[in-house]
Amino acid sequence: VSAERTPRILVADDEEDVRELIVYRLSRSGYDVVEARDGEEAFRLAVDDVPDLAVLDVMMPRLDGYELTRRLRAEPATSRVPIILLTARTQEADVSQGFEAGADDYLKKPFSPDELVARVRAVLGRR
Amino acid sequence: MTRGLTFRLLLGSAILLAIVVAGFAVMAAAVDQLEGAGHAEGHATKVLATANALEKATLDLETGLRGYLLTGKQPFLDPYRDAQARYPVLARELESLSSGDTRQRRRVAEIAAAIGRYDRTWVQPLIARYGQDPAAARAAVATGRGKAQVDAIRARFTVFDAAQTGIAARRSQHASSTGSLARALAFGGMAICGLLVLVFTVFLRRTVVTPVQRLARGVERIGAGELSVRVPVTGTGEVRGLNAGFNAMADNLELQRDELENQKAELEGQQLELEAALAFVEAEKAHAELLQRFGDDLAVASGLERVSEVALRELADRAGAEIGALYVLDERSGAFALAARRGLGAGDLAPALVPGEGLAGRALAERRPVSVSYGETRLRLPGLVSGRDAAHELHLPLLHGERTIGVVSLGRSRDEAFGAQELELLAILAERAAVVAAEALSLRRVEGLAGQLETLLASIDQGILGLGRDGRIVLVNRAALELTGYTEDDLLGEDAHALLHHTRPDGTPYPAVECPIFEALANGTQAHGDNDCFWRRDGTSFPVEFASYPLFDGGQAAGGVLTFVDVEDRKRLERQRDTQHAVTAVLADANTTEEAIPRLLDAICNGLGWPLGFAWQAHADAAQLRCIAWHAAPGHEEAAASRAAGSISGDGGPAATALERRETVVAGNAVAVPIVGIDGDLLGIAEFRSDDAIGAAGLVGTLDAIAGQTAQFFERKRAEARTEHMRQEFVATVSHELRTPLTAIEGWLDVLGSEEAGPLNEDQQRFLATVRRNSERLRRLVGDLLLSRQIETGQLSLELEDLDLTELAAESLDLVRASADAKGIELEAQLDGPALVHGDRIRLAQLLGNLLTNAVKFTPEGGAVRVAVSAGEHACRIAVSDTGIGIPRDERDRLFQRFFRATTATHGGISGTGLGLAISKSIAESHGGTIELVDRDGPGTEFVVELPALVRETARR
Repeated sequence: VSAERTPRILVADDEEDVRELIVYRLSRSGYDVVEARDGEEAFRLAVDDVPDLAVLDVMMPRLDGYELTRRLRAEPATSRVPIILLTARTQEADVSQGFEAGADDYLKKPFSPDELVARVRAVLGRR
Repeated sequence: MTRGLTFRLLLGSAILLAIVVAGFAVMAAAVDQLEGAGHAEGHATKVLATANALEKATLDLETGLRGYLLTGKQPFLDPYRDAQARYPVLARELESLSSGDTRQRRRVAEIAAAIGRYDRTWVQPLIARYGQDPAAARAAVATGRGKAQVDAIRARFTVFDAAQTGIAARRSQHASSTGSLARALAFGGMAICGLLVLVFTVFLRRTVVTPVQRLARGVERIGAGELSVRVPVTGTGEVRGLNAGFNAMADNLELQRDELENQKAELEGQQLELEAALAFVEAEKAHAELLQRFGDDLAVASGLERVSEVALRELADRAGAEIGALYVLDERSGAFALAARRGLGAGDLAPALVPGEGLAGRALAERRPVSVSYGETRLRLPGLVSGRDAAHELHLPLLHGERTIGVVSLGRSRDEAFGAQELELLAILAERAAVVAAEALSLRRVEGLAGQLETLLASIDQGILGLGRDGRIVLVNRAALELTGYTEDDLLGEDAHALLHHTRPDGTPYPAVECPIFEALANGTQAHGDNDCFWRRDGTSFPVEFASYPLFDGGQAAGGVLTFVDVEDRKRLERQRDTQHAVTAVLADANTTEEAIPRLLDAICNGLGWPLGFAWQAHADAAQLRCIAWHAAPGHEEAAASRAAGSISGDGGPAATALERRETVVAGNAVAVPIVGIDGDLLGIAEFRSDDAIGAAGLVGTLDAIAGQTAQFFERKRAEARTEHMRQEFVATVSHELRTPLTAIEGWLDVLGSEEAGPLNEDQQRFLATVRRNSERLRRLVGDLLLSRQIETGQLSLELEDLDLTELAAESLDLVRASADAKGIELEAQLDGPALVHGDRIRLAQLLGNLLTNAVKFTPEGGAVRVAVSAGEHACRIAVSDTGIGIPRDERDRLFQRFFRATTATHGGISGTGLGLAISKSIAESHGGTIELVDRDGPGTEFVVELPALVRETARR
């Protein structure tokens, strides 16, 4: 984590309770968090102000996590933003679909918030 | 010596050539002569001119001298000097010109000498003297001596010129005469040449052309076959030879033709001889055959009359009897009726005999031969005027076993009594004849019966055949003809087995000795059959049910009556019914359509006897059908594979038509049955091929019924699959939908539990723990649901590693220890480690956890739960037992089904999903292992899990 600037994380989940939990946990861990209620909003926010990392739910209305990931990867500004997918699907095919779309990591629901923080830290550290 | 034609032609040509050459030579000479005359004329002119020039030079000598002497002037000497220089030259020239004529040359020489003398002796001295004494000189001239000399010279010239002119005239005349001669020769030569050519042509025509033409005509006529043509031997040389050769050749040809004709005539003669010889041989052979047949005829003769005739003829021939008669038993009247006669009119003989009466009657009654001679004889030989008695008579009874079949009476005129040896032979023959006659009698009896029964039989729809003892057909009824397709003539007298029953239904030959009908006929027993087939005239067969009843004749089997019915329709209906039953059984038994289809094909093909069956499955695009299964009888595999690889659309076969019309289509030896769902969807097409034409009654109905059943089955399975799919989708959706709220619940529980949002009091912490416990339970349930779905869809993946089951068991025990302690349940472990297996640690722990949790859950307080792990050579064994409530015996076989819960559990109010054991079973089986409930009565339960042991070699490594 850069010492100069607080890393900004984009969190996209249509489930408000889960989203709030993630935001709460990441904010408490010292990150600057931006919220999006669906895939389209997330894409707009990400392009407007490129985040340091994106945590995206897979099952979202209008634009699902896979497609959102593909679009972010296709956009020059956001093509290198690390992405963690949250999925309730656990099948191998689902996981590989996520990686194929361009995700850096994935987390199965239900997950513990501490696990998410650890993954976020790890992915940011990789950069 | 013969002079050749070539020589003659050459000679003629040479003569002609010589004459022409001679003519031309004469002409050439004449021309030459004329040319010479021309030259001579020019020469003469030149000679005369030269002579004139010389004469002038002479005059110049004199003139110059005189001029000089008169004038004394030197210029007058110039002509002199000029002439002086000239005359020698001219004289020499003239001399050379005249060299051809001696006299002229002499004259020139004399002239030249005279001129020289005049010059030297006269002129020159005068000139010289004039220089000294001109007058003297002049005086000298005046003498005229000089002039006389010149005149003398000029006279010589005159003579010379005249002579020269004469010579030229002579030559000219000679040339002229030569030219005339040449002309005459030329004309003469031409005339002679023309004559010669004419002569030569005539010669050629006479000696060559005419004979050759004649020869050509001769060759043509020879070619046309007129071999007598000859040509006159004319012409000369080769032509003559050619004509002579032609005549020789024609002679030769004629000779050869005559020879050939002679040979041909000879051959024809030989042919006739040969034919005569062959005819003789044929006659001999026929004779021998005739003799042979006499014996055989009796054996093969059928019908009583024929048998009687042959028997009498043969016996009479053997006995040398001119007359004879044969009487045979008439079974209806019991009398012996005249059956055959020889050399006697019908009026000569009694129409019937009574045993005991007369000689023949005696033979009948006494069953022995009776022979009489002279005087006693009764038979009369017919004669021209009146007959006479036979010299010897013989009456031979025809005996067959106990029966007396008839009697043969023979009479002969030859004066030789019937000797003992002859009698013996004739008795043997009579016995033989009796046997045949007895059979003929039996046959006649059967035929008689047949006649009576015929009308009755015609009205019966069963096929009926009357059979002789040898199996020959003696009677047929209408139905038999209709069933077999034969005519009465085809059947009567034929061997029934050989004609109708020669082959078994499976196509193998059916030997007569194995035929029950045949056997029954021989033994006089009854026979029945319903598994055979009879063969029709057209080569087809039909399944038959038959019965054969024997006929007896005096206690002996004498044939039988065979009744039969075509049971094809019945058999077919039976087959169709059986097939339908088989299909129903398959459909009841099969779990999936994939499993059912090949079995259906087998059932239908085997049931209906079809070697090939195909199942074509429709896809979304109904026009595209794919062969998904086929049935092929042995030997048809290649045809099946080839057909299955093809397509049914547009091949014009019944399958294509069935596809188009959506109805069962029969064409030739193929049938196609569409399988159509309730909503009209084409599910597929079943196609069958037979070795024979398909067209049995009721077949389409049966197939349609089967298709209907199959379609229902498919629909049901499709509906089941749909339901199952929906259920799985539901499970997946529910489990997914549960996970999201679980995330929120557990996440916020974490937040609360960590007291980040504020400290909690004791009660709050306890409440929170309850929430967390239930949340975890919910999470496990969701996990189990998902896992069971993965297992069901075959998506359970294992992460395999080498692990020790004893360690795993110890860990699992630790996990349930708390709840066991809470219920006061004693946990026992017998871990005879290590028990190494290759497995998924998490799944196996789950398995053990399930078993232990259940054990604790279903064991009342104060009970015990025991775990035993042991390693065998091939398998590791885990046994989990408890002292709990147990599982009712009748529920044990459903124990491992999903969502099944034992009544003891539900009644006992023990919570659970009914997934644990099903999952455990799947985990064990996915490791290649087993899980079983140990079969025992009473309380308590024991589960035994066996997993393949890690191979030792691998373990050491």
